[in-house]
Amino acid sequence: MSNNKSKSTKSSTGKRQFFSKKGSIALFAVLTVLIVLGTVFAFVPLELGITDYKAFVPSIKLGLDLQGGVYAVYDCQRPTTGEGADMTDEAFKLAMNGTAQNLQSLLFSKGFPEAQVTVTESNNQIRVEVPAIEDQDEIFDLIGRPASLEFYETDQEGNKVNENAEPYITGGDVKAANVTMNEGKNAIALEFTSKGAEKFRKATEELNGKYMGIFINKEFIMAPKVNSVIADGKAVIEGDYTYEQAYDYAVKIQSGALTVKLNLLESDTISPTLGGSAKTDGLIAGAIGLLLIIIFLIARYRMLGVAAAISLCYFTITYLFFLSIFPWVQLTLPGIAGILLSIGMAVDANVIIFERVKEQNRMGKRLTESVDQGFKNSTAAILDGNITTIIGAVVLWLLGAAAIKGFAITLLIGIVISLFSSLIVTRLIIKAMFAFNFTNEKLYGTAGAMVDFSLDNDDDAADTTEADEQLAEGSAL
Amino acid sequence: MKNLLAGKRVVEKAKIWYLIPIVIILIACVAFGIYAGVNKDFSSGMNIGIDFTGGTMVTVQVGDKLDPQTDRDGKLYNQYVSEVKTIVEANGAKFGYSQITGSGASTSVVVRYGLVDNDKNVAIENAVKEKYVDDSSIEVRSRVIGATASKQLIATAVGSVALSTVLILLYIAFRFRNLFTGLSAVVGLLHDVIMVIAFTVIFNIQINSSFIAALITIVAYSINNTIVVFDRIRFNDKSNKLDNKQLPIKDIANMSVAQTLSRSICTTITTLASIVILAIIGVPSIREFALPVIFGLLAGTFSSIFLAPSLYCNMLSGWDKYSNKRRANKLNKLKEKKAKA
Repeated sequence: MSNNKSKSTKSSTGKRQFFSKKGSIALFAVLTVLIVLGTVFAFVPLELGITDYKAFVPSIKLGLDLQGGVYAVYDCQRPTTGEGADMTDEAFKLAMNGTAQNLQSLLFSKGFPEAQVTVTESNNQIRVEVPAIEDQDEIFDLIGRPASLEFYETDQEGNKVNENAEPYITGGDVKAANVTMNEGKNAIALEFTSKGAEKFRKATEELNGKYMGIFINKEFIMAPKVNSVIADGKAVIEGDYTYEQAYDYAVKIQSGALTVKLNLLESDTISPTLGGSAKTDGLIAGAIGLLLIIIFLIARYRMLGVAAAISLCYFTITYLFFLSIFPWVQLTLPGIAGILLSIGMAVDANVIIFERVKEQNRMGKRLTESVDQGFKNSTAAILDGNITTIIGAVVLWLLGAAAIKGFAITLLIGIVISLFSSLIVTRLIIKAMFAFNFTNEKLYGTAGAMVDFSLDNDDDAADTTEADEQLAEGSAL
Repeated sequence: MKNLLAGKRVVEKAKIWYLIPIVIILIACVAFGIYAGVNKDFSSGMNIGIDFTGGTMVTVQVGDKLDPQTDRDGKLYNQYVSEVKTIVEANGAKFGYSQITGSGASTSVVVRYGLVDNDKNVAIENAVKEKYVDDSSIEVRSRVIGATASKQLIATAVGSVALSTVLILLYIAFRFRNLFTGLSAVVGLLHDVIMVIAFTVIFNIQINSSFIAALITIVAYSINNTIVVFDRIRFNDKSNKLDNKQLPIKDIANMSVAQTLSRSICTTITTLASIVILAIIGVPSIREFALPVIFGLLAGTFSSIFLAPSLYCNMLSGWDKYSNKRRANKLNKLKEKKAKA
């Protein structure tokens, strides 16, 4: 390493001796083991004595187009009693669409962003399609059996105090029901619409100290005691529930929290709309694409390309792993294509860096220093580029409809891992390579003539106008 | 690899770079007119798919022999689908998706086709019934279905893309201490989106909800390219000032575009690799998604190399002319005042 070409300062040379040969061997060993084991765990199901391990890539949830699922068709009806029984057609249409939105967000909260809820206004039907489940009953576990929800005054056992009373609260008044923790115990949190909140305030005023019975489909569910007047539209039902019980109640209440009454017409399984081959096509395209990218990287950047290829493999495996554990990820075809693109983009940061390294090297700097400079000079561009994408993804996550949220989270995971692998993993690998004195510039393909970027003068537009000169002065703005 | 733009003047040819997208948009308009004219229907100018229009679902209940366990290679299923598809298309409706529902005796082929008037729905249902009239075990049903891509989905998609574009603009303007950088990057982004739509119209590719995903993908990725070029302009501009060289901004931009060219091309190659393969091996509905993305990536490469830097230089010189004029006007007015006094 006694090349005298270097114009480097001492401080930046000192840093580079970070890796010993032993350390580098350890790094390569760890990375190799990680990638090989990761690949095995990703694709191969294993029988490990007692438990069967399921490979994590096949466990990534897929959408209706790639995996199929279960559908249910509901007939929408006006509520027979209470508020809403005299809805106009226009209001009923609105209520149907509102109900569909409620179902959609309910399914989203259960981890099914790609579920589809379709309203057909011409025959008052709502069609629910839930991907990645195989059993018709599962759809009812998820959204319950949508029915009526009513709150009456009752005794502790659920006997109505007045059989002919109008309900205090009906389905349309409840916005959401969720499981929550209250003083270390599982509880059910209710959230009311603004109209419902007012009704609930009145009800708690009248029933303070008494019991409020909750009925779904006219069937008694529970009768919590009213302990205080609640005016903010947020109530918590406490009790000695296990998590499963609380969850079950929340689903039941939520499924009754619909403005229209739904009657199940039919339900059955459905096969993927793109046919069974789409998934395989995606995998094949990904594998070939990955291979082509690796060949391209090595052909163009030699040893640097090898480093990028290793960290690309690391990226792909890690990305797939995180996709399989995140609850809101449900891949449809666009999602798969998004992954293929992020594999391509994951090397973008490395390409930016390596082109810089080449430039520095050709300007006469030593290879090791060129690498340091290359990373340093590219960081701003890489961060700015990725932060803009993160801004976009976060906005999509916050504002987008269910399917778009799923897409945004896939994108976000990809960016974060790719930043880590291209900025940190690649750099570690290159430094480890240097520890073996792999600094022959031919191995890196960075040597070569400097490209002359000065401008042609014979060009037609070369006549610098007055405006241009002013521009040069004013360009600081 | 030779750097094709080294020493070339790119931003001075701005007019060409502005003209190319305009010509493509005009071609798209003509194509729109032709498609609409041939079908004698304005809305046929774009090939809007069943996700947006809704349509009808024909269910052909075949039973056991179609059960995925029995019909393992899907031969029988494909045969039914193509038979129904032929009838659907003969009646002028757009074929959407096909799938199998149920299992055992209830196994059915479901074909969804695009929105048509009621008479045609009846005609199609009758024709399908007619087709299988000899097989008493087959039952045919037909049901209208709404659009799966709800208005809410589209509205929130457009709204969130618009908001993120504004935020991206602000972020770039802040990071580059220069509003024109942000503006030209965002115009480049809009260009990419418009080009995707234009090419989709020209090639009459069916637009379904995956198209929204394709547009969002392009928005997410294309700004990256532009930023790399502008980062180089920022870097070169700084060293230019440090070296006291006073190069005009156009020269700096040309140099930066050339210096980042090989990176732009490499990244385009690596991002295109998998998606092109997907378009080649995939079924038609995969191509429906992959092609717009490919158009978008190519448009993004064009806009980041040619369009955005040229626009940036033009905006800067325009602003300079404007502020010089204002300064001169102010001076004149002051002089006039003094003269009067």
